[in-house]
Amino acid sequence: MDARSPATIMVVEDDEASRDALSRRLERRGYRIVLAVDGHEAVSKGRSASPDLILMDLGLPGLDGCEATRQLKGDPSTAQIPIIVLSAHAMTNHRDMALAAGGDDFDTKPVRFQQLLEKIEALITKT
Amino acid sequence: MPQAVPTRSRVTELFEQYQSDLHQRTDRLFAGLLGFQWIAGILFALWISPLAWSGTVSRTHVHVWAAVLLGGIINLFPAALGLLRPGRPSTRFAIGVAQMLMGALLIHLTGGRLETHFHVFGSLAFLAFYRDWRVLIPATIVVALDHMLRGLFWPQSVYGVFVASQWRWLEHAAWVVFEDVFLLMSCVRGLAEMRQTAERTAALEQEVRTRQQAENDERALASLTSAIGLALTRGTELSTMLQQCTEALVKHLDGGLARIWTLNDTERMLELQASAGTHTQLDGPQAKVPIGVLSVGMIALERTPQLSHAEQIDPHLDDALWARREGMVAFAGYPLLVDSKLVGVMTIFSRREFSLSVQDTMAAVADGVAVGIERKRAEAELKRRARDLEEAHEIQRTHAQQLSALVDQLRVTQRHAEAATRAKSDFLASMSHELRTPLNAIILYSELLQEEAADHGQPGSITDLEKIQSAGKHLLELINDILDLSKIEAGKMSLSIETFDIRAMLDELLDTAAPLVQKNNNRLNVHCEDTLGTMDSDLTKTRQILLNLLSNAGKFTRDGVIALDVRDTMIAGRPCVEFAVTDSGVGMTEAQTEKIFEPFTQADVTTTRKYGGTGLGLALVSRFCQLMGGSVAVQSAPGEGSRFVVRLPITGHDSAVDAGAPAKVA
Repeated sequence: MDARSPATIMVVEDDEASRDALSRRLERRGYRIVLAVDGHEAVSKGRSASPDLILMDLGLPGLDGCEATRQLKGDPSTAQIPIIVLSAHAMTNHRDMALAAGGDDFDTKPVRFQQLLEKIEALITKT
Repeated sequence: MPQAVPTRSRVTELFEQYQSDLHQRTDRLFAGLLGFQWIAGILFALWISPLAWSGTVSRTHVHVWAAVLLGGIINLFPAALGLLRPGRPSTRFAIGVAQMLMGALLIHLTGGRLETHFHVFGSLAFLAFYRDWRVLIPATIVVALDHMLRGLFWPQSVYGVFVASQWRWLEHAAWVVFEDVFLLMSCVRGLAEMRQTAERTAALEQEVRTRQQAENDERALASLTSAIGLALTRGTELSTMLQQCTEALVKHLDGGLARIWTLNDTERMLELQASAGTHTQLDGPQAKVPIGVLSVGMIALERTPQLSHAEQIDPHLDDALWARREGMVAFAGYPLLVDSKLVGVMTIFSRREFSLSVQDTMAAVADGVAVGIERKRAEAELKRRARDLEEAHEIQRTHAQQLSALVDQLRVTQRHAEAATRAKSDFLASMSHELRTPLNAIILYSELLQEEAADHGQPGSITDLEKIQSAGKHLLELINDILDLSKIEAGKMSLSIETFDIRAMLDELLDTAAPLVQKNNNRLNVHCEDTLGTMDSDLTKTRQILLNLLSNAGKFTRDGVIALDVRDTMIAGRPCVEFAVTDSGVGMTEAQTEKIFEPFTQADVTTTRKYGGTGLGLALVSRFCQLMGGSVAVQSAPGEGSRFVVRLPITGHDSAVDAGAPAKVA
């Protein structure tokens, strides 16, 4: 964790309970949290809030996670923000889809929190 | 039946006919001669002594009257006999006697002239025309008596002298007898010749008759052969064909009764098929005759023709009485054989004996009829087979239609099944998403609350929260396993092949697995061969297989030892890695091990309650092994622990190992 200033993580999640639980657990780890409930909000807040990392849920109403990731990575102002794509889907190969859309990493829901933290730390440290 | 030699009776008949003709002819000849003699006698009398003179007075000489009256008496009676009753022996004898008496009269009328005596010799020679020497006897006796008596009492009348030796008649008689001897020989010879002629004529007649008979027979046999040929080749039913054959036999062979039996399918019974002649009905005591019974059955049994020729039919013949009453004189029975196979029997009773050519023809007819029966049967068989074949084709067509319908139905079913599978997959995909999302929240909240409880010093609620977390994780495990299985069954499970170091994989795996194995106070022994290198396979699934096995071993073993042995091996010429997980746990019965790789099957229904687990672990292990071209096997005994051996090919996944398990499990 960066001691100088806490890193900002944008949690993009349409399910209220998941969003709340995940953001509160991350806050307990000292991260600043920005919330987005759908793809469009994710894209606009990504630009305005400039988070250090985005946790992007794949199954979103309106603009889905893949498309939102593609737009963020296609915009030079947000392209450098690392994105971890999360999916509750297991049937289709969402990992490949997420990585193809420009996602930096992928994890499944329900999240194994410890493992997710490791991935977050690795990506934030890299940038 | 015509005979080669003429009958005795016919010769005698002819001979007697000739004799009779000769006698009659000669009788008529003599009738004329006698008349002429009478006239001649009168003329002689008129010429030699017309008048008897007494002085100048003359009167008709007594000789003239004698010639007229005596000559009339002597000649006219036998002449009348010759004309009215010719041919009778009495006529001949009368003529013979009359001829001799006429000779005596002439001799007397000519005054005993020696020349007139030649009339006697001439008459005897004429009498020999009869070729009947008996005629000569009374004639000779009359001559001898005449000469003797007149020689004694009136020699002038007979010898032309007044005195003669009383034995002179003997000399005359001797000359007559002398001639008789020659005439007798002539008669005998003439008769012999006549008999020979009769014999020759009879023989000739006989030959002509025989030839005519033979020609008639030939014509009859030719007609028979053509009638039989026609019957056999006409496209009629078997019974009609055989009936026509029997009718032809009766018609052309002067047969009284012709019958044909055929051997039935059991080959033990002859069945009357056709009957013509005196009996035409097909029922009755001989309608069915077993082989070896009655003469018909015997012919069938012995397979040799039977011929009975005689005035009386073989008394052993069953129909002997009937045959005699009907005037049958010949019987012929033929076995009907085709290539020495018996098909029936043919019999013929006839009122005429069978000639050799008739016998030959009947034998040929029997052969023809046999072939005809066999052909009809073959045709019937062919027809039956054709019908069967047609039925079979019909059935086949029906089956093909049914099959086609079934295939169509199956296609529809398959489409439905595919649609259902897709629907199931889609359902599972969305369900898993819908299940995972709240589960995500549950697990995150339970962990969050644990952290907060720890911060706030509330250890009491931590235990409960851990239970919620544990239940959530179990639920997640269950969802994941179900999802994996349904993916495999939908054929959607794919392998993600990568090259990895086996030891590194095991080290990482044991970090996760060790706590699971050791939780029941078990000891874990790991033994890896030094030769282990890398393998090209699906790392995640390989780990999941081993994790499931180790986790199971830990679950079912308490205070025991669990061993993981890893080594290189060769299966069916392919390099493989063998992972063996051995535990000293509860073990399983044979019945349990048989079902252990089926989904939702644990060794015991109470197992889940007692040991936990989803019941899907081993099913997934088995499916994954097959998918990766490997295999899994189990050895176990109750109370003695279990040993699971997994073998996975080091490279590739497309080819099966061990029992040829499919690379993909649908």
